[in-house]
Amino acid sequence: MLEISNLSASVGSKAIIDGLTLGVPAGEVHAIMGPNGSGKSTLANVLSGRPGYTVTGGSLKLGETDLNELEPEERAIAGLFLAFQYPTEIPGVSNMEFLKAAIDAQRAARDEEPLDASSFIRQARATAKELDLDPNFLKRGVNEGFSGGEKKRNEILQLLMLQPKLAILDETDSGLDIDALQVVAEGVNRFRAPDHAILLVTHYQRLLDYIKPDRVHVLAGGKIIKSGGPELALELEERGYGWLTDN
Amino acid sequence: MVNGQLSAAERHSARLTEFQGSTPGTAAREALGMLSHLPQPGSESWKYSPVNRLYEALENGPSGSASDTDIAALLAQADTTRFPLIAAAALELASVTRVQLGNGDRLEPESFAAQEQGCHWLHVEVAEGATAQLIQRGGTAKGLAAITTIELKAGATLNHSVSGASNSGTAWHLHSIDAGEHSHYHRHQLSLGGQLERNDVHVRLVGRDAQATLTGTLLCGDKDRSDNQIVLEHQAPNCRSTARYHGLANQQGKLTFGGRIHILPEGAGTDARLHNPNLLLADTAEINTKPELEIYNDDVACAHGATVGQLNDDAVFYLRSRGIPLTAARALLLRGFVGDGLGGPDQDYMTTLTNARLTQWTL
Repeated sequence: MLEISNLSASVGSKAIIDGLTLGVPAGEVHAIMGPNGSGKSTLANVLSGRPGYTVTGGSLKLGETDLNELEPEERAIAGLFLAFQYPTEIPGVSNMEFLKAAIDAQRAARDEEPLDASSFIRQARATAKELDLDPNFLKRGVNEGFSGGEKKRNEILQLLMLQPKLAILDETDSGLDIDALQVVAEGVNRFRAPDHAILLVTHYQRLLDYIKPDRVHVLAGGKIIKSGGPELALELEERGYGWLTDN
Repeated sequence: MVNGQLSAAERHSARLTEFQGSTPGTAAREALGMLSHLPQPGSESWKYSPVNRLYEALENGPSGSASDTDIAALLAQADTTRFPLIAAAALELASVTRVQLGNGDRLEPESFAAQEQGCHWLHVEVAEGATAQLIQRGGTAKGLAAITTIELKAGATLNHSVSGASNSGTAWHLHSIDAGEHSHYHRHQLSLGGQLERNDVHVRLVGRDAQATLTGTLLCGDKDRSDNQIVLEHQAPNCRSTARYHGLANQQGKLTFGGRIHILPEGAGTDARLHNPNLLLADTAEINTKPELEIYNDDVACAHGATVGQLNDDAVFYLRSRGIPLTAARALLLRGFVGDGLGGPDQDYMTTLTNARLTQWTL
């Protein structure tokens, strides 16, 4: 579903991604691990089309769609979703209003029927409940004054409401206690489906205890230096990254 | 005669004799005397709007027809020391409307825009213990000055909505509110700017335990000038006031906000708060803001602040990453910024006007 081939990308004038190739087929969960500064978050931002991140070579495809040609909102409509490492606080815009605007915009762009208000509210409340979020949470400003855990759960709420094809989770486990981690992992696992793909960007093996990956990739120096099965994550946990990057 | 020209006072005097007889009345003579105290162009409170242009517009507008009694009443009702321009407006007064509101009353005076050019005075009294609504819509499309004076008697509550745009021309709006003991004044204001618009709001908390809550949304685009000056004057003990005005300037708009909390020696136990957050949406737009405190009593709690910022790029990107197009994302953020500034008895109308303007700005 996601095909990245020989990708190079820079932030400002600094080259960060350097010849990265990666494929995530539908129905699979892939994890990207790597030391600090290896380019993990840059990759997530490049995929989402964040301004300031420039593709300097190679290609990015979601299904048949060339992502590099698209604005961030068009990528979302094409089925890409990024769960942010640091979700932005937007005072004054309620979570409910925001979610409705996002769903309406995506449906309109895909020529789908708009979701009626009562189904939307019912669905939003039910999803919030599954994520252990108080219903009042939907009325609050987007991420405004949310705790770290609430912000991450709010990202998963959006994921479940928007039902994209590809979910990229950028360090979704950072700043979560064990209970919150389990709730978030359950949400992600609920999203798993034969026509969905997931790319997990993480520092730690811990998240992978709860969300079992099909493949694990090690990103260092802007490229994938090793790929393997779930056992690779365990090995990294035990041995660190040195044995791979020192070569 | 100065340089072969009549002085302003002489010109007003000449016009007054046309309708008041050969000798202007006592109040008219008093007003004429005040004209020598008009603020100087560029003086502190008129730094960002040309007072002489407003004054000239008043003077060159249609002659008033007010009786000496009306002139006297207006001079007595508002603070002529703080607003000497009232004298010029009083001398050109074209209409006077007096209304008393009882419990449950709702007053929606004909919009200013429908009135003829000139100076118009509306006086509203809210009866003791009554809860009432006052809804003023429209700007002074043709009008020059609209003065609204309000008296809240003991225990009265008024929910007051004021909205509109001056469009073309020059306009001065003065709202002077006297809040009596245990009364509560709620103001919800929306200003869409105008070629040259000056809005003065003067709230005097004159009875103990009076409260005033003011919210405002100030939008200024095109080549408009919008100068908004708020004074919260605590004259009695244990009064509370809060003012929150949100400003947005775009294109070549020039938006000014001045907010002053003034606590007299009698104002023990005052709690007063004033905040003015602003968004500057274009390099060519301008925002001037000055929150001020003037306190003559030690037993008070006061807070004031102002900010000027830009739309947050991270927030715009966050919304876009969820499929919301750029223009809609910007509009959503601007509406969010205005937020709770749009409430009160005329909320729907004010929201519609605001959304239309913000959508226009983000296209």
